Amino acid sequence: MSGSVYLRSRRRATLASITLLLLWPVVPLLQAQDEPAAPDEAAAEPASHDSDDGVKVTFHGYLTQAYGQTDGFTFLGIPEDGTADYRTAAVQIRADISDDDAFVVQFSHERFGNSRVAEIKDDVELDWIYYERHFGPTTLKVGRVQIPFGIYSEVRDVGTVLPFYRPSHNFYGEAAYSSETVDGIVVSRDFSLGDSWRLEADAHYGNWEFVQRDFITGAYQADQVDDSVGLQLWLDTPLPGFRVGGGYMEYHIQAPTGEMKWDTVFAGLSGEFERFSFHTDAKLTDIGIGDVYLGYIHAGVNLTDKITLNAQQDLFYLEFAGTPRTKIDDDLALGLNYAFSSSVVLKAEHHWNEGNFWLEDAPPQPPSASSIETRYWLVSLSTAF
Amino acid sequence: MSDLRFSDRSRSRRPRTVRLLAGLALPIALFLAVALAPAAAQDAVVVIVHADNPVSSFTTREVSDLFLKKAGTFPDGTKAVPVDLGERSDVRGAFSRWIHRKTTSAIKAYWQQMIFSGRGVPPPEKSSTADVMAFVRGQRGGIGYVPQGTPLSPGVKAVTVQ
Repeated sequence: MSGSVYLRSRRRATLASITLLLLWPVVPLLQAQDEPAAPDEAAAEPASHDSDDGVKVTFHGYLTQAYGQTDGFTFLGIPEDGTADYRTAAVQIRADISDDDAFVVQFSHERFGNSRVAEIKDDVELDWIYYERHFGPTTLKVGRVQIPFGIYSEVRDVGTVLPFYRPSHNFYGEAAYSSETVDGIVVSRDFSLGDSWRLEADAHYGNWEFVQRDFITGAYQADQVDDSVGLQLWLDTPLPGFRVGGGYMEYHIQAPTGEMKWDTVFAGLSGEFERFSFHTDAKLTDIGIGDVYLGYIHAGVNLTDKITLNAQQDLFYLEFAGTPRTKIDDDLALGLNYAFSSSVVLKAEHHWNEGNFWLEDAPPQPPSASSIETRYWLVSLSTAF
Repeated sequence: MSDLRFSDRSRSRRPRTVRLLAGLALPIALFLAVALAPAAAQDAVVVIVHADNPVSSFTTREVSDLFLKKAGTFPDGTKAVPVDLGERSDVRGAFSRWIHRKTTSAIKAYWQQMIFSGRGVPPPEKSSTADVMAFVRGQRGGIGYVPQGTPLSPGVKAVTVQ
């Protein structure tokens, strides 16, 4: 049994244990679903259900289907001859047991076109499974929980709320070099600071799986991450829609070559207004042998209530000790979105990319004087309920 | 597979027109968007609460925080239970622009973000102002909104929003 397969088995066993533990208090909820819905609530929220004892079960989901094509090498699974095997989807079941208790399960499905990451990913995966408890302004989540980190980390696959098909592939990673969830705990608390200032704090602790690509063989592998700990702060300002954030995270990757400790600090700005929006996240990761700088800036303008113009620059720099900082990836994107409603959004986007880090079939190039230029475009339709 | 195209880092071959577009399109569109922004809609909507709620006035930010569940209680500690009209309601559109300074679609997108980040669920939606008043009347922490000029039923009262 290879190391990564062993880790996946161990991870699944842990997950199964957590699932059984967490399902225990939910058995009554499953029975409750057979009872009829209250007519008034059923009309207002078709995908929800109230039982007589106050348990409310709600179903939500999203789907984004895309077609993508590049003019050269395969970029994040998008090949030169195009692919429609490119989508994200999830179904979420939320059971609000009381005002202060909830149980949440989400299953996800994701396809990456021609990417070899499919070799280590199941078509349908258990995305989240956690128990949530509110203690006044404090919320505790235990189980497999989404990691709060940056503006889009927790909703990186929800197409209806994203300006492009995916958020920054450099900052958030895509199927690799990051994780959306942690097997552990997340504690969140809101602090009202007066005069419309509000602080939102999230801390996490636990384990997750670090997927990375072998640049010689092209294959992806998963390593265990232990003792991941992080803190994120977002400050709501008196200017409605304008937020400032930052955070820190450190974790230990159990790589075949030995344990590596990575530290990351990040900062972000988010402005969402009636007619325009901007978002930026930037992070610095100390990977032991050097520093990685990743970030993006996005701006969007609502030309009408239905049409939004978006632009984004997404950057990746690497600096090994004693060497100059080198640009590894530079992705400039322009896109136009048409929202049939808040729940159905059509997007067309074009990217001008320089770099070879995210190309899966390009010959290995040293991160030195030259990089490969790739254009790619995506058309996607997103829905959520 | 197309030919390999390497770029000299000091001289990007990204088309000049693309760079110009990226640099100019957003500021121009932003100017047009701000210039064409609709007037505020505060004259079209009245915010209502339960008649026993001692609160008599709010700021728009306070109302926004209650409806977005960023604030959970009224000043006297009563748990706030907001209720919305449906997404297609013109009254909700006016309320969203006045209170949240956003379109209803943007508010719905906010709630999608909350739902799929596991941070919360939106207020219930009612299909009529009569249902909204019945909901607010039914619980002491109820808060909703109705069109200006709507006769208020017993058990609810209007509050001033500045």
